[in-house]
Amino acid sequence: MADRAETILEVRNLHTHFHTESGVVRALEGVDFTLNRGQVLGVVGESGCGKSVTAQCIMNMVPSRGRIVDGSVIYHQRNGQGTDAVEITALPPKSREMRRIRGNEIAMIFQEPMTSLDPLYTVGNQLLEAINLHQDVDRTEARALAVHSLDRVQLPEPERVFASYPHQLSGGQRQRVMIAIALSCNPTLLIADEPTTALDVTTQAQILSLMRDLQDETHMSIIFITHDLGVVAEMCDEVAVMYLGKVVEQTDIDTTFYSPRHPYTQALLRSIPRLDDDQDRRLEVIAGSVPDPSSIPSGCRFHPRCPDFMTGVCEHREPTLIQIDEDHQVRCHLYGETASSQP
Amino acid sequence: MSDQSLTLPSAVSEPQAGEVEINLSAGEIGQLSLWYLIWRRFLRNRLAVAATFVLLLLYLMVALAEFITPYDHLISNEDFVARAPQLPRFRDETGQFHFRPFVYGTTTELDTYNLDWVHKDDTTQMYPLKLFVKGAPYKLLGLFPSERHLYGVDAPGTVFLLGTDRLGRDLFSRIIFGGRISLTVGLIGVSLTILFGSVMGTISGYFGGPVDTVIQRFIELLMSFPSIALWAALAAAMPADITIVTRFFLISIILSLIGWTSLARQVRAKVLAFREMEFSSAATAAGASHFRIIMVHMLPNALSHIIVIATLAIPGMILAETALSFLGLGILPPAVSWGTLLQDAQTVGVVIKKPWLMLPGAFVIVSVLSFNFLGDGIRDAVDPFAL
Amino acid sequence: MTTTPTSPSDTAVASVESGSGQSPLLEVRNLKMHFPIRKGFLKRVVGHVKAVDDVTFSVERGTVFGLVGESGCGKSTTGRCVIRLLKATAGEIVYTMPDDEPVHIEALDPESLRIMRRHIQIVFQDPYASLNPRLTLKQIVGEPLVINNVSQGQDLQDRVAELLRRVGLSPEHMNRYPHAFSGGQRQRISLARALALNPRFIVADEPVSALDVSVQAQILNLIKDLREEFGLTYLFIAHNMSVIKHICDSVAVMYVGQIVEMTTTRQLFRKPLHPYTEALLEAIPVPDPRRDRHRIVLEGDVPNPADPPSGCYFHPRCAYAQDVCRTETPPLAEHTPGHLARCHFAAELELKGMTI
Ligand SMILES: Nc1ncnc2c1ncn2[C@@H]1O[C@H](COP(=O)(O)OP(=O)(O)O)[C@@H](O)[C@H]1O
Ligand SMILES: Nc1ncnc2c1ncn2[C@@H]1O[C@H](COP(=O)(O)OP(=O)(O)O)[C@@H](O)[C@H]1O
Ligand code: SF4
Ligand code: SF4
Ligand SMILES: [Mg+2]
Ligand SMILES: [Mg+2]
Repeated sequence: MADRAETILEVRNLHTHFHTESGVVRALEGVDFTLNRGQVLGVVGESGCGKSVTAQCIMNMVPSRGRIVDGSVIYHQRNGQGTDAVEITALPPKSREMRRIRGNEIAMIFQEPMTSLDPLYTVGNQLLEAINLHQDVDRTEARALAVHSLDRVQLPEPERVFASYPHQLSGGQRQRVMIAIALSCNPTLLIADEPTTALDVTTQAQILSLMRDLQDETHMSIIFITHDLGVVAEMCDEVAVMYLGKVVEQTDIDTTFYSPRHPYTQALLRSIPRLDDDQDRRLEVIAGSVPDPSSIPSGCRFHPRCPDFMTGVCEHREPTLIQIDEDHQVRCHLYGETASSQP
Repeated sequence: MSDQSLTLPSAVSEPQAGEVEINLSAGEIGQLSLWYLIWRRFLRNRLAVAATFVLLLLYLMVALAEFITPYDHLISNEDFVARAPQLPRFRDETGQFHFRPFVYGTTTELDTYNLDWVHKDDTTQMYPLKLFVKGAPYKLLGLFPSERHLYGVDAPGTVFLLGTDRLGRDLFSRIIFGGRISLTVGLIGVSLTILFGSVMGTISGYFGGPVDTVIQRFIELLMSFPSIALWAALAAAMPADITIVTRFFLISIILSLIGWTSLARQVRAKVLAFREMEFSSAATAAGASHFRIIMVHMLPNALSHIIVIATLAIPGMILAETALSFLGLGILPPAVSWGTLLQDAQTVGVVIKKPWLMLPGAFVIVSVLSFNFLGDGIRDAVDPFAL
Repeated sequence: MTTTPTSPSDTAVASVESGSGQSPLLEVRNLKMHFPIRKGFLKRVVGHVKAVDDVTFSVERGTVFGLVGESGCGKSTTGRCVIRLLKATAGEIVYTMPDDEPVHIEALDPESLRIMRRHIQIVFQDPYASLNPRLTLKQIVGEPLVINNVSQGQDLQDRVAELLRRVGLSPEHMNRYPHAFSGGQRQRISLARALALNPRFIVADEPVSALDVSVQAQILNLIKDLREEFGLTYLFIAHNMSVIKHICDSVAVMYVGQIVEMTTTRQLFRKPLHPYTEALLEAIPVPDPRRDRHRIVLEGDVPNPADPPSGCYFHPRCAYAQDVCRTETPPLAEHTPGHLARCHFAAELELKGMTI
C-alpha cells in the first residue's frame, strides 16, 4: 500500500445545482472528502443523495443544466519528484488539459454497462478507440494491447470477445469490458459508479474480486460509489457517507462499521438485514423516507428522521463538518461542543 | 410510521412563477391528475399556445364563413376579373388622413398587347369600410337567418381584400369557404385514423398470436404502397356522379386509409408494453375483465400518445387533400378547397402577373405549421409523464 | 375484516415434510412453463425457453415460503403461474380452499378463476410500474373491491381508508395520484391493494428489491406484521439471501428453471447440500469489514435457459464437478428428512454454511 499520507484527491465544500425548468435542484450542498493514493474510498448513501453528481464533478462532466456553484476538486498529479495540485473544477470541461486528465489520470465506469457501450460497434472497436486516443501505438500493437487488456479482466476467450458486439455478452462480461476500457490508459484514479448494482450476486462477487485483484496489481486509487454497505465492507479502506447532497461522515472502514458516530450512519447500519440475525428480530427502521430535493428540511437535513434529534438546535442550525479524530469527520451537533469546527 | 414526505417528478415539484402562477403545496399537487399537470406544462410552451390560438381563429373563421365573408364565393363577376387585392388605406392621394379605413374604386383598361383586362385603383372613388353591413341573406351555422356580414362597403364599391380570381370571385371568401373543406378533411380523416388505429392496434397488441400476425402483415402490405400514388389511384377511381358531400367523405376515408397504419403500430407497441406492466397484471389478478383492462388501464395511458400522433398527422392530411385537389383528383369544382384554389396558380405566368392567387398556399402553410407546433407542444408536455 | 386469526406461534413452524396432518395451503407439482421461441416471417417455433422446468414444492399454512436465485432462473414465472397470470405448460397447482376442498388452479374455467382470485393476490417488484399513474389511490386500492362487486359508495371509501391506515398511509391521501409517493410508499399502496379482498395467500415478487435499505426494512417489517394480523401465507420471491433469511420459514433455491435445493431456512443456511447454494451464500457481501475479503468466487455465467448444459445444469461452474455430472442429470432427492438437493454428491460433500 502506498504512503498513507499522500493525498491524491481532495473534494472541498462542493456545491452543485441543476437549473431545471421547474426550479433549482440543489443536488450537492457540501461534499467534502479526501482520498489518499492507493486507497479505495467508498461513497455510500441512498438513491438521490448525490453520489453520481459527485462523480460527474470529479470528472468535470456535469451535464449542461448543472453548475458547480461553490467548492473545489483538487487532483494531486505526480510528476518526476513530487506532485502538482490541479484544480479540476477550475479547468474548462472541454479543455485539452481536462481531456488529458480524463484520459490518462482519471477513468470512470458506470452502473449500466449496456448503455455505456455503443451497440453498433464491436468490443474490439471500442477498446481500440480508447487505446488510440491515449497511446501512440501502431495497429498491431494496439490490437495486442486490446486483447491483453481483455485477458487482464479475466474474460475467457479474449479473441472472441474482441470480435463480439455488446449484446452478445452477458451483463458481467460487459462490465468487465467496461473495466478493460477504463484501464486501457492506466489511470491513477478510477471512479466506479455502482458498477455491480445491476448484476447478480455471484457476478457481483466476480467483479468485486476482479477489482480487488487489479487494485493490488496496479495500486490505483478507487472511488467506489454504492448504496450497498456489504459491498463497501468488502471493497473499501475509507468511507464517506452521504445524505441529501452532503457528506455527513468520513472515516476509515473499521470505524464506519464498528463505531460510527453520525446518527444516520448508525441507523443505516441497524436497518440492513444481516445473515447472522436472529430470525425474529424486527429490523430497526429509519422513520420516514428521504425528502424530496425540492423540500429540504431546515437546519440539519436529517433532523425529521433522526433518533437523537435535539429540539431547539438541530432544526435551526446547520451542523458543520467536525473533526472528531485524526481521521474522522462528522457533520452533527452532537459533537459540536467538544471539538473545534472546521472552516 | 410517518411517511410524510412526498416525492414528485422534478418537473412539477416547484411551481414556477410565469404564465401559470399556481402556488400549491406538495399535498395539493398530489391531488392533481396527470392531465392537469400535462396541461400546465403545455401552457408554458409559448409557441404551442400561439399555434393553438391561430388554429382556433382559423376554425372559428371557417365555421362562421358566411358571416365573415363579404361576398358569395360562387358568384362570378365579369367586371372584376382577376383584380389585385384592394388594400384598406388610411391616407389618400393628397396625403390626408382618414380615421376610417377606405378602399379605392376600380378603373378597367384593356391591355392591347396582352389582350387582357387590367384593373387599377381609381383614386377618385373612395369607399369607407363598414362593419356589420347588410348583404346577401344566409343562415349562420345553418340555423340563424341573417343578412349581416362582418365588413363591406357601400355599392357600387367593392372590397376584395385578397383580390379576385379569373372569374372575378372574391378570393378571401373563397379561401374561407375552401378552408371549411381543407381544415375539416384533416379532422375527419384523423378521427377515422384514431378509430381504426387504436382499435386495430389494441386488438393486435392485447390479444397477440395469429390475430396480431395477420394485422401486422396487412399493415406492412398497406405501408409498402407509395402513399401519394395509392391516394391518387383511389381518388381517380371514384365515380364521377357522386355528390360533393359523398366525395368529401370518401376523400377523408382515403386519407385515413394509410394514416391509421402507423398509429396502429404505435398503439400496439404501447399496449404490448402496458400488458407487461405490473399494474395490468395486478388488475388481472384482482379479476378484471379484458374489457376493463383495456378501457381503464391501457387506453387512458395510451391516450396522450394517440393525441400527439393524431395532431401531428393532421398536417399531412391537409397537404394530401391540397395535393389531390390541386391535381384535380380530390375536391372538384364548384366545391372549393385550398387545393382547388391553388389550381388557378398552376402556371408561371399567373405566379408572376397575379401573385395573389397563391395566397391559399399561405393559409395551407400557416395551418400546417400551427398543427406541427401544437403537436410538438403536446408531445413535450406529455413526455415526462409518459409510461 | 373477517379473517380466521391464527396465532403466530403455531403457524411459524416451517415444514417441508408433510407430516403436520393438515394439507398444505398450496401444492405445486411438476410445474413447467416453456416459452416458445419464434423466428421468421411466419413466427415459427424454433425452440423453447424452459423458464420453469419441473418444479415441485408446497407451502404450509401461515408460513413464508421463499424462492431464491439469480435473475432469469424462473422465480417470477413460477409466481405468475401460481396465480394464473400465466397458463403453465404442464403441472398441477393445488390450492386448499377454506373448507379444505382442494382446487386445481391450472384447470379452472374463467368464472371459477375469478372467484379463486379473491384468495390469492400478488405484490410486484417495481413500485413505479405496479400502479396505474392515471388512477387515484382510492381507485387503485378499491379496484379489486369494485371488480368483484364487494362494495361501493361510502362503504368502498371506508374500506379503502381502513386498508390505507393498515399499511401505514394516511387515509387523507386517498384522492392523490401515485406520482406524489415515494418508492416505499408505493409498495405500501401495492400491499393495500393486495389485501383488499381479504386474501389468504400472497405472492410477493421481490417486493423490496427496488427499495433503499432504510425503506426496505420498513416494508419487510410491515409484511411480517400483516402475516400475523391476517394469518397470511406468502410465497416470497427474492434474490437477496439476507432478506430471505430474515423473512422466510422455508426456502427453495432455483437455478435455470429448476429447484436445486429445498429445506427450512435455518437448515439451508446452516448446512447447505448443493454447491450452488454454497456459492450463493459465499457471494453475499457481508457488512463486516473484519471478515476475510478473499473468498472463493463462482466462475462463469448463468447458462441460457433455452440451451442448458448437459447433465447437471450447474456442472460448468461447479467446483466439485466429476465426469458423471456432465452426462447424468441428478434427481432432486431427499437427503435428510425435509432436506432436498439436486446433486450427485450431496451426501458426500462437506459444504460451508453460515454459523448461525
Ligand atoms: N441532469 C440532472 N438534472 C437535474 N437534476 C439532476 C440531474 N442529475 C441529478 N439530478 C438530481 O440530483 C440529485 C442527486 O442525483 P444523483 O447524484 O444521481 O443521486 P445518486 O446518489 O442516486 O447517484 C437528485 O435529486 C437528482 O434528481
Ligand atoms: N413472456 C415470456 N416470454 C419468453 N420468455 C420469457 C417470458 N417471461 C420470462 N421469460 C424467460 O424465462 C426465464 C425466467 O424468467 P423470470 O421468471 O422472469 O426469472 P426471475 O424472476 O427468476 O428473474 C428468463 O430466461 C426469461 O427470459
Ligand atoms: S445534528 Fe441533530 S438531527 Fe442532525 S444528525 Fe445530529 S443529532 Fe441528528
Ligand atoms: S451434480 Fe456435480 S456438478 Fe452438479 S452440483 Fe453436484 S457436484 Fe456439482
Ligand atoms: Mg447514481
Ligand atoms: Mg423476477
